[in-house]
Amino acid sequence: MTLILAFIPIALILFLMVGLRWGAARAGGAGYLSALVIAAIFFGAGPRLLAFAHMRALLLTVDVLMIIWAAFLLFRVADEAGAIETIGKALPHLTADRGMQSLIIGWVFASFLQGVGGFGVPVAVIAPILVGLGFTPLAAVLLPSIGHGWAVTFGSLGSSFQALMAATGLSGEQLAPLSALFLSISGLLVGLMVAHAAEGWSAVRRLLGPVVALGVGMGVVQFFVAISGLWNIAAFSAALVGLVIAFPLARGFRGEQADNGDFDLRALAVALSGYAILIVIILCVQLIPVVKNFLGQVVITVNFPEVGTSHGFVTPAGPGRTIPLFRHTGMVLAYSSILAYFVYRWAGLYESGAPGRIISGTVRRVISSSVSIASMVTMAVIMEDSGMTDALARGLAQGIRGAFPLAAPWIGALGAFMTGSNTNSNVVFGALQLRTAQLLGYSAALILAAQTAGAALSSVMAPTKVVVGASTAGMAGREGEVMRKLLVYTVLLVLLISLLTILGAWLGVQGFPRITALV
Amino acid sequence: MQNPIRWLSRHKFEAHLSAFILMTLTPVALYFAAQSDALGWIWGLLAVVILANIWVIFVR
Repeated sequence: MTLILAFIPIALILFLMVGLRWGAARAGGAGYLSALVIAAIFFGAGPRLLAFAHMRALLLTVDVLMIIWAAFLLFRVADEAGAIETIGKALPHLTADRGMQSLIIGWVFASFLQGVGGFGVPVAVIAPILVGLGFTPLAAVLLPSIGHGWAVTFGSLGSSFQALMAATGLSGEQLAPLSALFLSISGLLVGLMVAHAAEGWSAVRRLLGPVVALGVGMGVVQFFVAISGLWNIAAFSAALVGLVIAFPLARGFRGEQADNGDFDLRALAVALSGYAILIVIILCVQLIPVVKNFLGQVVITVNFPEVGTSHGFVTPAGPGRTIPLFRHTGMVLAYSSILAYFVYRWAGLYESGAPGRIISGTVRRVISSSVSIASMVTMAVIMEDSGMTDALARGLAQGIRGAFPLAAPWIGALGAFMTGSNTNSNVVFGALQLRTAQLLGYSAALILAAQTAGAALSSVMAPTKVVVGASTAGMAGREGEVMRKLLVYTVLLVLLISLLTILGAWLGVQGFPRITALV
Repeated sequence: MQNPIRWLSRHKFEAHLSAFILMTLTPVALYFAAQSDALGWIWGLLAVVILANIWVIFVR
């Protein structure tokens, strides 16, 4: 009975978003209310426990939202300057070969946009470009949808990964290696799938070399950048390296058109400068101790007393999520946004009224997802502090036991599909996966890598994203076609993560050597 | 009931913004109320967050 009651908030969100097609904000509100009522009536959560749970949730919400807001601000700064359009227009000049175009634009550039933006931006930006190049609307939506999934967790400048850390209380050093490994391996398969979706098996055979070169190059970069602590630029750096690799590769696949015309190299350099600033600032903050210590002086921390339910479930005393205000990734993104704005302004890329449009565009775009994250994070913390997550984890542990490594990525995938985002899935299921892993004796790092990788790869076929993509490619009302095609690719990708997780569990992987003691 | 819901849908941004402000400011007051065991305040403030979430449900 307790298991069913504990599952109700999650089931309700699933039903409302998938069954009734509610938005994440509305469903999150309903999920929050159900969790609050069930925690109070059936799990013995008193008013003090609920009050502290709300404050704990607020810290986690701020931690995640600072990155989401600032990441989108940087994207708007670049977009308003025409930088995204400039980069997008430059890419087709590299090659007239349809297969290579699909790889460079639908995979590498989509990953780049996911790395710096996210929130459905890759498909929304790329689908019209591909339609303009002569791809069918279905292919134009399909290619970037498949192509950016592997970059979601470490994309949006790390917001989904930040959510995983916030929801589980584990550090980036513990979680990054296996998460990055799983996603990097899947990235290679993603490349093959993009080639297949563009031109079938013949393209897969013909473009195997470029796919391997790009996939290995981007995967290795994402992995090493993530494990070196710079996880918030891991996907972005990987895609940037992918773009660099794509230049010489494209020379070998120029297609029938011998001369692809000139493009303005200076304009491209200026367009990319905003993101170069981001790299420089992040490296300075992470690698120069004086800067790191100076910015880390102001820390927001709140201490919580021990609280318990009337049923005996106890949440121990301790600090909530600690936020180093001026060294937080969100603030680093904000510094980058301000500097990038001045660079673009100096280059004369803004029309009058640009600052107002940047700010209002950012606020209007992120407020809905901010509401859904606030509701869902609070729901997740109430479930955790009242023992609902523990009850679910115990039920899951008893029910599937040895099959848990197989199921873990599918739980993440389900969360991403129903909530429309990797971030939300990590918030809703992160603590549950962690607790179940602990109960069954599996490595937390392994199971949480499966959670976030499964969520990232399946987030691309969330109804909300598909609707946005279809509308920008002129396929409004034909979303079902896109979802049917995406389903096959997504299932194969999540299956790959299941196999990797089973392999990891079989080998007894606890993490990577330097973090073994922490897991 | 139809008209208020339509009105909310037309003012989606404002509705979400106001709900978000309530959801993020109230927990701070809840924390201090819980520390001083002010049960009346806790219930009242919880009601504010609950109303904010109900408000969001009606924003289509």
